[in-house]
Amino acid sequence: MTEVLIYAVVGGLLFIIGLSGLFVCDHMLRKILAANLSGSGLFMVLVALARRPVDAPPDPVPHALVLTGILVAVSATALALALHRRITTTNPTIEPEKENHH
Amino acid sequence: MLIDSLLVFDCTLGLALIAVATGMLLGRDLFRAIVLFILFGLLLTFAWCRLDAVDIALAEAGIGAGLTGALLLNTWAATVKASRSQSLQATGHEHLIGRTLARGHPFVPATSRVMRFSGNVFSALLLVAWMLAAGAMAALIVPLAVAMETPAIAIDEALPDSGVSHPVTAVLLNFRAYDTLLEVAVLLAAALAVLPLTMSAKGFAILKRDQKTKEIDLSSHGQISFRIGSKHNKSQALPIGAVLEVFIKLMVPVAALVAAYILWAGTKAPGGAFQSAALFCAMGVLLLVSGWRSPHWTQFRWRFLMVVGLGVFLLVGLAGTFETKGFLAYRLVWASTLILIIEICLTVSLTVILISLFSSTSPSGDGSDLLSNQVSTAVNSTKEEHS
Repeated sequence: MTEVLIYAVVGGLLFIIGLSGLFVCDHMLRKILAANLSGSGLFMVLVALARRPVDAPPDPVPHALVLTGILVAVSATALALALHRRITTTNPTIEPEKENHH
Repeated sequence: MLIDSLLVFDCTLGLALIAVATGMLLGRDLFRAIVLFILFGLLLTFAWCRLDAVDIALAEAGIGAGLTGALLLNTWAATVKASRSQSLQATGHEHLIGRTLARGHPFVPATSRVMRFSGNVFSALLLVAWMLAAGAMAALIVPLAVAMETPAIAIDEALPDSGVSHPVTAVLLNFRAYDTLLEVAVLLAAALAVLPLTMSAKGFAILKRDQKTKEIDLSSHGQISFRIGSKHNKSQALPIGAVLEVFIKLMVPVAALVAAYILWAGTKAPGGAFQSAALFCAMGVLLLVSGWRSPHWTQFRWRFLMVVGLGVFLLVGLAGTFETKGFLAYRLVWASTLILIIEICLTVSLTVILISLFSSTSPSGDGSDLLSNQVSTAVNSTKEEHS
């Protein structure tokens, strides 16, 4: 039971780190990274809570949801990256080369 | 004793995940952040294994870490690195000032220092707010985790009626087939949105390249070059190392075999359409990176392959409407066959969609550029100097 707690809490923290990164980071690519991060945190909470007592297999419904979620996340990421690329190629002034200024 | 060591492992893994995540967002270099993201995905795979989620671990390693990382690296090469090399070429006055401003040099005017300070205060406040939210969330999660002790019996009881013996596959393709159907639709929609976006970007990239490359792009209209290291590829200035070449020749057949097995095994063990598509896609990405020409995704055959998964899924669902109780309901006799057919079609579609996403985000709409980008830009710049 303890590992469920550990992973659920880590997942929650990852979600929060990702979400705050989404707001705080300047560079669009880093925002996309952060969004992926928060998604992974959420997946982790779901999968941790899918665990059942030691000898029983885990609940398959959250597992299926997370599998679906991973594929939706990659398609959303691809779309975001394509938009980012389009924005930077059509309007080079937007691209912040100053992403190193943390 | 065993439990203790596992506990130590869990704690270390959790801390490592949080450290890598923080480093990803706070680190200076964007390239390093992307590499950390890939590392994060691999660590996450360990976590999924610890949580008995082998299906998710397979998908995460292939898609979460592998494909997403490749997409990010592609985009980084096309945007950040490109603008960086431009700014290195044009060592103008503006850029120097821009850089000193960006680095927080003492020459920075007071106003922008104030802005930076208020920005930092805002970030700190935001972090405090999120920490509070974390506390609230932990307070929510703990009772939930305790409540989850009770097993979900419903699925165990219904499993014999599903046509497959692996519960995750049963949920994905029978009990909650709606989710999977709509997910495939989402992926298709993403491909439909990404391809037009990057196709004009591809045209833009071709214009910027030299005439030779352009001719090759036109002559290879919609064909894949199957030979690695052939004459065709050499003209693209892509030096594949001997190690990569041998590695690909050895790995691709093995990966194809494993992917096919995983697809077949999905009915009774961890595996299935998503994991198999992830492996096939990794294979495709390897081949594109090693110099295979990216196909023209607008051709009918590729569009057909992209749609076939969703199409077959929908047709089976509609057939279920006439045959049995309702949409996406299978008769038990047919269930396992239908699920296998749907899975095969889904694997084909997902593979094509995922590879098209990869190849369309690559710097010139051609996956091989991930490696050859640096070489070709160097060649181009020397040519420009000579002319």
